[in-house]
Amino acid sequence: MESSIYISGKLLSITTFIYFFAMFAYIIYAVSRNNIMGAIGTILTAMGFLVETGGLVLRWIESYQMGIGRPPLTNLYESLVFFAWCTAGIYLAFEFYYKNRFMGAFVLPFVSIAMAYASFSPNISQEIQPLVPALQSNWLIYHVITCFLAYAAFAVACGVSIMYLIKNRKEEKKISFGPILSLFPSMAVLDDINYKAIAIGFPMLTLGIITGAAWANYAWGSYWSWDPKETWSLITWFVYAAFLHARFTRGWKGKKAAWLSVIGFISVIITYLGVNLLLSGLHSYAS
Amino acid sequence: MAKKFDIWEFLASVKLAVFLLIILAITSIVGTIIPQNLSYEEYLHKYGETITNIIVNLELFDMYHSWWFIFLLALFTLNLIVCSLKRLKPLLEQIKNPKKILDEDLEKTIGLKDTIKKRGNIDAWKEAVKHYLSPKYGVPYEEITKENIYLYYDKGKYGRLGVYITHLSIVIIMIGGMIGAIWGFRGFINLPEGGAADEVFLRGGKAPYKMGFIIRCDNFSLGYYPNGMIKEYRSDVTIIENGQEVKKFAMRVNHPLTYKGLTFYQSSYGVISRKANLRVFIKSGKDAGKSYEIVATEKPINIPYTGDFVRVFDHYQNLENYGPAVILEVNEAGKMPVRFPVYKNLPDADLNPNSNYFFKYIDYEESYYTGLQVTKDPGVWIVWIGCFLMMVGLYYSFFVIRKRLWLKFYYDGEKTVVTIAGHSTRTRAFEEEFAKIVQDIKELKI
Repeated sequence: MESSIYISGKLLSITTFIYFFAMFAYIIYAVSRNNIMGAIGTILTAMGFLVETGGLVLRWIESYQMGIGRPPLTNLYESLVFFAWCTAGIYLAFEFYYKNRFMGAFVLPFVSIAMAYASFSPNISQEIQPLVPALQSNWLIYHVITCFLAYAAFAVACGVSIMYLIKNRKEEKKISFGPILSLFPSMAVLDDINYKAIAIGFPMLTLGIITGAAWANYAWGSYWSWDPKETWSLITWFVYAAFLHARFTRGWKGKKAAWLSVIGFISVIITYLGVNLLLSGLHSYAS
Repeated sequence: MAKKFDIWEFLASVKLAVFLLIILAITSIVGTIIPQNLSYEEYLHKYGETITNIIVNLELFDMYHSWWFIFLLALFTLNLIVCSLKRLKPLLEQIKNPKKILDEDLEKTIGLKDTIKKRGNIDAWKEAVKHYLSPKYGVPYEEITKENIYLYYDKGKYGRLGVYITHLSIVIIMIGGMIGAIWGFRGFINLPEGGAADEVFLRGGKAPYKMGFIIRCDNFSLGYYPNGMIKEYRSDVTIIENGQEVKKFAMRVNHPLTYKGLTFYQSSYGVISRKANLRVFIKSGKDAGKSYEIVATEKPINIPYTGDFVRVFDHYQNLENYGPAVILEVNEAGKMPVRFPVYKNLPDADLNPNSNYFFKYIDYEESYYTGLQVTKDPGVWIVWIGCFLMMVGLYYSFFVIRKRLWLKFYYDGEKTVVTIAGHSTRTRAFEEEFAKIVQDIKELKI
């Protein structure tokens, strides 16, 4: 069965293209400082977000029509789509709050790559499959939603931290990046956005780990078994905990904290994808 | 004395916390790369002698329970406790007895401050400002002296306790984990259908645990989706205590059974015996055209009146979307054994055309054993309390922000002078908020 037989699949394919155009609009905006391009970026991202919402809801409905009703959060394809959805949503909220479109060029690539990977990788099945017994639990929804909101917030934090590091490098080394940097928010604002995103991500990740532990205890009789996915989620938690404490420590503010945010997101990617693709364990169903 | 003081400071430092968090993150990676709990021979085969020796010496085969990892966790916990204790006392003091009066000292040192002059009566202005601020910042502390009126707002004053609630929750979770490790266990029971057991087998060669009651498996069954994927593993079990059947339960994955502090989980299953009712047709030879009904099992049986054998090798509920199929292995004299499927829904398909026999699928039955995991963990509730506290603590840390406002009113003979000062743990965001408060007060009218 190909995805094309699902209407939701078509909507999600369209979403992939909309996000790509949004990403390019933001990048052109970043380089040209043309405000119309920036507005197009925002409109396209919001459009992509809406179409994707429709796609996810429809996929849920379609699963009921197939007689196997389950939320669209149960395999690698759906989780990538959901990651893109969360990241686009959280990004739009931050853009609206801070009234700065420049971050789009640094966050939308994460959204586009996730959608493109989901849509075009030959290894990822887009089929709507019924749930294996281990996944038949309400904990699934709580666990996946909390984890992915965390991942999305961390993606935004990572994008902003990269901006911070570029700007910091410019100020340290007096390297000119031409007009691009003029649109960057000030370093203090970047630092603030980074912190705010992690202030959302960290409690969500904690809740994700706790719901995962509760579920594991209910399904397997052990809330913590040091399986690679669990361990990597804890590693991610350690890195962001270090970030939060580093802010109160002299010599760890600013640049080092931004690096911790970037490293934290690398750890998120390993937790999310690396463990499934490279290591075996209890979460291997997702590959 | 001086040295002891240093250790205290070292253990109380946030720098040590950052360092330990990073070290814990880095070392934890090792156990996700090196497979855990393999045998010595398996490591030797996988990594060779040198690396295997390192693995054994550093206990990397079970690194999350190794002495050095436990030591790191203990040091981390100690750091967290000492660090919290050191900062908690001054903080509690500051919450309980904050500076409420905007005196000259405070006016000099505070960052956010402004003065507004208003035409009119001092009491009327105090009431107007109070009327504006109180809905947002709660009930103020009020003090009236001969010349001045003081107001003090302290919103979200417990916000900074969030950090310490979070730290406490980590300690509680660790205690829960330790209680589970000391007084809990994980074991397993394998029960054939109809079989019963009163003890749990523990890992690591320990003596079996006597449950004090009996668990019996009445039936094990597999449920399937239309496409043949497994929908459920189900064990119907009965608890028998003192000869009485006290509880019946349908145990499935994600639906464990808890009885008297023990929790039983559906964890595995296996086939004990297979029984396929078949009709075998002889294609050629002296009995050509004859057919017999046979019952094939996993052990080879003789095909009637021949020297050849057949046995059941496997069975699928839905093989390649054609429905149920039994995989037979036929052993004919002078030929290699051949395995092939016989489909229930394709009664005319002969998938082993070179054989002298043709089979029809009539019926299939198998009996199972069910594998139950059994755990006892008296610490698990402490862990959940810790987790709940952690969420409360994180909520307070991130979303309850302490905002303090000091106001002083006095009448200079002509106008009411309002001095306002503010402070928050979230400085940047509060600056804008403070500017807006000042602006709004300037525009207030009585």
